[in-house]
Amino acid sequence: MSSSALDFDLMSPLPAIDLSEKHARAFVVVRYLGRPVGAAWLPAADIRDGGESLRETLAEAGGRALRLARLEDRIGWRPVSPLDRPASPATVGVCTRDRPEDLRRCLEALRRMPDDGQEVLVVDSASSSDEVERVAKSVPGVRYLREERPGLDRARNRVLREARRPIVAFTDDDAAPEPLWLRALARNFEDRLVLAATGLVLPLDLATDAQEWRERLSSFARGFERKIFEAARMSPAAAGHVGAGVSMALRKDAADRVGPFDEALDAGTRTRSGGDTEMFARILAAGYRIVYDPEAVSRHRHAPGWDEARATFFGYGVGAYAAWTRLLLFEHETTVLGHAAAWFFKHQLPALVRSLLRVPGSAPADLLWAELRGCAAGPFAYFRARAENGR
Amino acid sequence: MIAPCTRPEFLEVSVIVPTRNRARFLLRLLDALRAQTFPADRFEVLPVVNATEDDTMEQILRFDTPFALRPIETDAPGAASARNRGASEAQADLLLFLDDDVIPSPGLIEAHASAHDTAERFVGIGPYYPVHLRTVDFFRIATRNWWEDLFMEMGRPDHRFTYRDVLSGNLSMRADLFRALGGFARDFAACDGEDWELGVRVVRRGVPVRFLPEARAHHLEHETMTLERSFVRARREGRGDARISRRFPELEPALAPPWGKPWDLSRRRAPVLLARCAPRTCEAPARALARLLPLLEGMRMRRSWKCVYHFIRGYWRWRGYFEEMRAIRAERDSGTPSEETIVLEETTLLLDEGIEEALRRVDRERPSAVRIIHGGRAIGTISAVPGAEPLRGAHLRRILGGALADTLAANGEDGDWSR
Repeated sequence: MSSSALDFDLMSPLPAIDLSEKHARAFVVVRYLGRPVGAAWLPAADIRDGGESLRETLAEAGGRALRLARLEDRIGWRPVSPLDRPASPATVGVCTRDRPEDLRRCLEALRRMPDDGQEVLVVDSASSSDEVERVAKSVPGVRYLREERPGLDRARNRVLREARRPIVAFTDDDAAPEPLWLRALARNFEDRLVLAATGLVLPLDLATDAQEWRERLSSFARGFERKIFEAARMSPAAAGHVGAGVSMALRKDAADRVGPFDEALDAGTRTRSGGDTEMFARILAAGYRIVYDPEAVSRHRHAPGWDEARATFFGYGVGAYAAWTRLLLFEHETTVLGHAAAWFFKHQLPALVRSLLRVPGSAPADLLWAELRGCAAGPFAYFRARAENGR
Repeated sequence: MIAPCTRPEFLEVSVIVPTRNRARFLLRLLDALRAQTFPADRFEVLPVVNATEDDTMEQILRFDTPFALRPIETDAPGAASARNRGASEAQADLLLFLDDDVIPSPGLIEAHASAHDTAERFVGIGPYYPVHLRTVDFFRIATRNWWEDLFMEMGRPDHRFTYRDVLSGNLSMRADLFRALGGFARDFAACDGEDWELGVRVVRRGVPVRFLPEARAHHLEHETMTLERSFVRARREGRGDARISRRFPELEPALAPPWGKPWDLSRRRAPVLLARCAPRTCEAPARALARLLPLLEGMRMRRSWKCVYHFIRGYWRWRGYFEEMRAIRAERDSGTPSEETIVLEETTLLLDEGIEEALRRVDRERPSAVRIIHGGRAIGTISAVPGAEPLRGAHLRRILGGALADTLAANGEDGDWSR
C-alpha cells in the first residue's frame, strides 16, 4: 500500500499526470488560485482518466473551503491580508540535528521565499559531525548557531533569544515550506492577542506504507479553513488540535509573556515530542490566541521505514503524556484528565479494537500499541527529563 | 481656582483630564505628557480635580512641566461634569480628553493634532491598550482581551462605528463641534456611559468617528479595575443604559430587558428577573456567588467561571438599570426631554447588477439596512443597527464575505454576480 502525492489547481489546466503503476491511489491536494482548499485520497484510475469528471471530483473535495474561496475572490474581501503584500519582518528558525540532506532541502525551500526582510537562523542541536554546519554555512544569508546540549526545545529557546525580528517562525529540518509560507504565518499577527500561528503541513511524498499510515493516522494537517483557537472556546489541554511545531510562528516576546519552551520536552530528550503542544497550551491558558492558517503550506518528509514509523508513534505517545503531566502538575490544568480519558476511550481504544478484529481499513496494531506504550511511559519520561535538566 | 492667562498665540490642543483621588495616576500621566513629540508650547493640560480627598492639587502645583498646566478644582460630581468644565476653560481649538489611568505614547498628541488638521469635523478615538501582564487570572485575561478586541475591531478599515465606540479615555474633537453637540450629558453623575450617550448624538448628527491608531496609549486598568469593581461598574453602566434608552427611543429595544416568556429562566433572563423582583434580597447571594469564582478558576473551569461571572454582572447591570428607571420616573423634570425617533432607511440591493455596482450604490445612498436580492430571491438582510453609522460599501463587502458568506457561496454557484 502506497500512494502518489499530487497537487491540482482548479483554475489551471489539469496537467498530464504520470502516475506510477505501483500506486493504486493518490493523495491529491486541491487548490483554488494557489490557495489549498481540500485534499482527497483518489483511486489512480480516476486520475488517469482525467477530464471533467476529475475536475468535479476535485471540486467536491474542495467543499466549503472552495466555495468560500470563490466567494471571497468574487467580492474582493478576505478576513486576512492577501499574500501579494509583504508581511512584517520575521525570523525563520530551523532547529536541526544530524540531518544535513534534510537541512539542505529545507534551506533551498526557504531561499525561494520572497524577500520581505526575513532572516534565517539555523540552530545545530549538538550534531555529532560538522556536516550540518557545512550545509548551513554554504547557503547565503543563513546565520548558524550551535547548541552543545541536545534538545529541540532548548534549540527553539535559543532561536527566540537570538532572533532579531518581532515574529519568529519555526520549521523542522525535514520540512520544505512553500514560498509564501512565511508571509501567510506572519500576517496573522496583526491581532495583538495572537501569540502563535500554525500552518498546513502536507506530506512531501507517500512512497512507502509507513509514510501513508503516518499521514492517515497522525496527519499534521488541520483542515483547509482558517481557525482561531482560544481558551474561551477550547481547553488548553486540547492544544494538539491547533497545529504542530513543524510549521509554527510565535511572537519573539512569547517567552516573556508565557514562559520559554520547556527544555525537558521534545526531540533530543527522553520525552521525544510534546514541546510545541505544551507551549501552545500555555499560550491558550494565558488567554492569547493561536491561528491556524492553511495558506501557510509546508511539506514534511515522513520517515519511510516501518521501524521509524513505530518509533514516531511511540514518541508521540510519550510526548503527549509528558506535556500533559507538566500541564496538570505544574500549570494546574485539571482539564487534562478529561482529555486524556476522552482520547483513550473515544479514539485509541476503538482503533485498537478495530485493528485486533481485523476490520478492513483499520490501522496496523503495532503502531497503535507503540502509541499506547508511549502514553504509559510519558509521565515517567517527563520527570526523568526534568531531573536531567537540573530542575 | 484656575490660573488666569491669556491665550498663547500658537496653542493648538487642550488636554482635559478628569481625576478624583488618584494623584499617583495623574502624575504618571503628566510625566508621559512631558515626553510628547508635539511642541510643548502648543498644548495645555487641564487636570479637572473633582471633590478630592487626597493631595492631588498640591502635587500638581509642585509638578514642573514644559507645557502650560492649568489645574481646575470642581465640586460637581461625575466625570462628565468635570470634562464639560475642562472644555469650558480650554483655550485651544482642539480638545483632547484623556482618562487619568492612561499613559500616552510620545506621539499621541501629534497624532490627534495632525488628524484634525483638516476642515472636516469628526470625533477621533485613539486606542489605549491594556498592559499585558504574565498571568492566567481569568478576570485579568477577560478584561485585557475585551479592550484589545475593541481596538482591533475599530482599527479595521471595514468597521462600522457605533455609539459604543465613542470612548472618552482617549478622544479628540474640535471645540466648536463639542459645543455644537452640547458636551457631555449633565445627568450622568451616578452613571457610567456618558461617553456612549455623547456617541449617540455624534452618530445621529452624522458626525464621522475616526480611529487614530498612532494616537496610542497604555491603559493601567489592571491597577484601577478589580473583579469587585467590575460589578460596581456594571451597576453604573446599567444606570447609564437606562438614561440612554429613555433619551433615544430608537435604542430602547436594544437596551431594554429581555422579558421573553414568563417561564423563560434562561441564563440571560434570570438576572433580569432577580434584579427586578428581588433586588435587595439577591444582593447577599450575588456576593456569595462571586466568592465561588476563585474556586472555579483554581479548577480551571473556564466556561463555568464565565457563566457565573456574567450572571453576577448581569444581575448588577439590571439592578442599576431598574434603579435608574425609577429615578427617572421620579424626577419632576426628567432631565433632557426625549429626542425624536429617527427613521432608519432600508435599501433593496439587486446583486444581479454586479457586486461593484451594489457597493457603489451603498456608498452613494448610505442606508441603515439592506435587503439583498439575487435572481429574484431575497438571499439576505442586513438589519438596521440603532446607534450605528449608516452603511458603507466596505461594511457591505465584509458582511457579504462574513455573516452572509455561506448563503451567498451556495447561491453564487448558479450565476456570476461578480461583475
